[in-house]
Amino acid sequence: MKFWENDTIAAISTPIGESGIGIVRLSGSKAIGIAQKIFRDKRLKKMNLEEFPTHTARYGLIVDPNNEEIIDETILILMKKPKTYTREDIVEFNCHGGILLLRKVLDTLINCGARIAEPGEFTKRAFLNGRIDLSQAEAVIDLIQAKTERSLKSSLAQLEGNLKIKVNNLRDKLVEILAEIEAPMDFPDQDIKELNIIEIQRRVKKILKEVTMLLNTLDYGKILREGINTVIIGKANVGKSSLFNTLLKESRAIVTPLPGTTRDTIEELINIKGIAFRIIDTAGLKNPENVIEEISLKRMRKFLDKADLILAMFDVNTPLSEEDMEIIQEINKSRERNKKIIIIENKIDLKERIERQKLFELLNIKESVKISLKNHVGVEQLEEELVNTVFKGTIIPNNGVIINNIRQADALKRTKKGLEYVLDGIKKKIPYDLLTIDLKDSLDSLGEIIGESVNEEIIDNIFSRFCIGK
Amino acid sequence: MKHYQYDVIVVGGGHAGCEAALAASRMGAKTLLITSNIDNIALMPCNPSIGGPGKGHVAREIDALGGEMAKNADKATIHIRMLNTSKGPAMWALRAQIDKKLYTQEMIHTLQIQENLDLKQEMVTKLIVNNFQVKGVMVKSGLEFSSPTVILTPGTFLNGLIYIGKTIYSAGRAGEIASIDLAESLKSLGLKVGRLNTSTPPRIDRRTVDFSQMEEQKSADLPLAFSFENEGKIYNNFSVFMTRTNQKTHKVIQNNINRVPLLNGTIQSAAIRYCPSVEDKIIRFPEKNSHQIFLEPEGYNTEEIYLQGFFTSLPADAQQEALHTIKGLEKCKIIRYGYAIEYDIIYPNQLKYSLETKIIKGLFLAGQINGTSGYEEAAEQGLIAGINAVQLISGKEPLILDRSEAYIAVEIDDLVTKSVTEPYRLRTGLAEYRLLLRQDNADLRLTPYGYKLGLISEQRYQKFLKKKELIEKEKERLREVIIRPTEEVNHLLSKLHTTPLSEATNLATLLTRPEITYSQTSSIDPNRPKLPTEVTEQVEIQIKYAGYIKRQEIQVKKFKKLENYKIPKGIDYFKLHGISHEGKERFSEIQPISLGQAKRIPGITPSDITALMINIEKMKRTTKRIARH
Repeated sequence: MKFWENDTIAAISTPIGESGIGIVRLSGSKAIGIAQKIFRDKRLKKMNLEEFPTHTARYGLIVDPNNEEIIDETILILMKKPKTYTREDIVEFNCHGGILLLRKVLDTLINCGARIAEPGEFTKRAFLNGRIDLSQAEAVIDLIQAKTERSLKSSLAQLEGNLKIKVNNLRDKLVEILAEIEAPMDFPDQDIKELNIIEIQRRVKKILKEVTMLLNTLDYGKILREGINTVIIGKANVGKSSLFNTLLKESRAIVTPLPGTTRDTIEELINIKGIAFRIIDTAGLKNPENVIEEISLKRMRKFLDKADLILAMFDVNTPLSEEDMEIIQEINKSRERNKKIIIIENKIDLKERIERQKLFELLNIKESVKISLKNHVGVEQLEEELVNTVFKGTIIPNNGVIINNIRQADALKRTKKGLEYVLDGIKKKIPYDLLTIDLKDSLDSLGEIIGESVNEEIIDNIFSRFCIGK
Repeated sequence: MKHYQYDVIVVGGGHAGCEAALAASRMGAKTLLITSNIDNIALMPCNPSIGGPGKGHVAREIDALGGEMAKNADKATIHIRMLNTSKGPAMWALRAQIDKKLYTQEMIHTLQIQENLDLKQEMVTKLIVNNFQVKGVMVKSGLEFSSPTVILTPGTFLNGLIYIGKTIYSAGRAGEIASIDLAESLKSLGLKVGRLNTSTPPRIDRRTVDFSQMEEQKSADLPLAFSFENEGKIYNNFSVFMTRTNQKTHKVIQNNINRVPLLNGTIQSAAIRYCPSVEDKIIRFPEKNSHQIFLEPEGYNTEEIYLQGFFTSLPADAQQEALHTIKGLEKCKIIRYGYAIEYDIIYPNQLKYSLETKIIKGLFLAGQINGTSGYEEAAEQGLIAGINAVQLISGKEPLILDRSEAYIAVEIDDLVTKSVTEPYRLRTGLAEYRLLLRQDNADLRLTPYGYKLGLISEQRYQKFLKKKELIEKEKERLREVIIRPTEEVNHLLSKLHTTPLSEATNLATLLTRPEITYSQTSSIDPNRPKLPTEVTEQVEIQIKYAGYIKRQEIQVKKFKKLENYKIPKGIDYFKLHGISHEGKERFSEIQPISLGQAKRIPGITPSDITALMINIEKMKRTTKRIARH
């Protein structure tokens, strides 16, 4: 009896960062087959990995099998079941570190038929395949209990709560339709009015629309998971780097340093109140000769382009400069493109020389966040503003209801499919009672999102929390 | 004192008792049926009908397993219809009006001529139990009957109390003695007892009714029968008539509401929501100006008419006054008054799936004692209890069907897993896999089980296999019949209001269109073999709804995963790690046999289930490890 898939999963299994070496791991029934597709010996010849003895290492190259282009050198370690961590076939690629390279290897494996592992999935397989010992199993159980007792502390938990309310609301509507279809059929002599088909169609369409909208929030969920692109702009010496460093120090969990693409920018993934921000510090616009260059403007626009959130800094201590005016123009353009913007006035510890009224008029704003990075004033307020912007503004729409993982999306997709079947059935004039099959299917799928249905999802859920670094 | 030895003793001769006794004796067990009044065997004390959505399905399932209800109904039918024919085939349901006297007579005779079966008119007063094993029963005359298995089917007799207005008296049914000693005997065994109530409408004199202003429901003009073994028949001697209550009726009822025991607080037990008393309907749905009442004949040789929809325990004078406000009933005379009856039940979550009690070995309970309502629901349990009593004494595994196989299983699973808070009535909405549990395919689903148990004869089984073969052959053939877009074909299609063909297709695909029936396509299918209706009906349903059937089958596959995940017996849930306290209590009480069942227990959370699963995995591994050493 198996609740879980035994498809082949892949993940980068070393901490992401600038370490010297990174490991990409594959586990599952097709691990060896998939590995073979991308592994070559140093002369770029294909190898039959099945023939390799278990628990041995080989030097070779990783290629993209579509064009045989070399991605990296690697040491491949082959471990055949059952004496492996997951008790499945495992192949590990020891690559040169660097997130981009490791991702490229991972992508190639996915293209060859592996699936991205959920968090904790290697451990889950280890447990379900009987590899982990009993004390660890008990730890899993404690985790289940802890989960229910944990309060809704983080903003993400709040989002999960909102999602649950939303899903329950949709479920209620489906249950209502079901009940109204079923009652007259089960009690034909009790004079219960039948729901007419147009009314069913109208209601199902409405639910379908809401499900589709919810599905569209998957991208937002992705933003939340992978970090909100937050770009700091401002003239030279306005305090961009100080802000960057302050936010970095404030956030207790520094997720990972990411390599900047040019020397002029630095990126960091930081965590503020449970939300990940990918903060990008840009250079000023002026060159060493104190002239604004077209090339600098272009570079800034490129960053603003991919920004979800812009932190624009102005110096209270100086009047608005030419550079400030350029920046104001860029801000206004970005706002038209629905970017979320926070205006920050720094250096409030110093004398005020900025033409604030003009600044506010030019930007068409009524408020700004006033801080002194030097004296550490207003930083907390800024952080709050950052988080608020995420939930109130355009970054996460939909009253803060979003789906943020693949399983939720998958269940919603099945809900959607079920509802589409219902509408299709109505079109084909099939008898009412058959509509209930797909209505119930949709209902069950919705239930999976919020853990109302017991199935493998719940086990997955636990093991994704029971993450012991594998 | 002389002892009489049996293999199976059935106490009670209602619908559950009859099926239990017949199944046990037909499977070869030496069986005794004890009832307090032989003349009232298989009595229908309420509606004179069998079937309806869910219930009709069960009647046919009973037939497929070799039970008697469907056959006996066919012997006593006076009017029959297929309900819900405008709906999909899962909703079609047979319902027959039955001659009550004839039904009873036929069943008595069937029991009398049954080999291995003794009938006895006696009142059982005590269950003999030794060391948690049933040993037999003691009756009022002092005799003892010994048996390793006893099936109790006392209906509403346990501490029965009848209410008509403020009149209250002890009775098993109108005119029959309640079982008080037996009720006490059960309590003393440690079984948890609950109390439910139900009501029945008045019967009136046909000669005092004016049918001219009522809507008539005729019997079907197609031949119909409940049993798969019987040819359908057309009945045209009797009709059912429909009239309605009105504002005046409601006023009379409201004026007398404080005299109704169910509503004034005298009766505290739970009543059924699905067939509420007329006074209940008026209070709960004040916005409705009118409720339907069906006038159903009680039989050939009687002038009594049953008033379906007028369940009541109003005082006698108010019953009469209320009926006189109704169109066509202005001058009607009541022969028997409606009444409510309150009775003891044993909470059914104290039973195993086999319907044996968990605490007393060999003691089986079936029918209304388990909190159900309805003849069909009772009969089905009787059949299962009878089968499983014999399985028990022969050391064989009990017959346990699952929710994807039969309504019978839906009902029993609901009872033993969820218990009851009101009388339990079957309906199709309770079945998750309704499209698979159709009344038309009950034989295809269950005949093999009946045959294996020895309840289906070799001859019937061979006939069944032949039918199956013909269905498959014809389905196969239809997939191979190519229909081309000829003038003749497209003429036929436009006549049937469906789009003409532009390219060739096979006949099976064409039949999936809702507008087209199998018989309508005979002209474009010249090589069609002559097949019995029961075969062509199956072929048509299976082809027409193939897409949906497939989807349900996928759902069933998912469902079976958890159903097949068995939980070892004898777990001490209080020693398990990580399950909530309530979860431990529920698990200990129900002792679920599978993860699927565990999941359906009320009050169980998904995290309880996961924790349970991990504990089981752990146990399995420990056992394996021990086995290795």
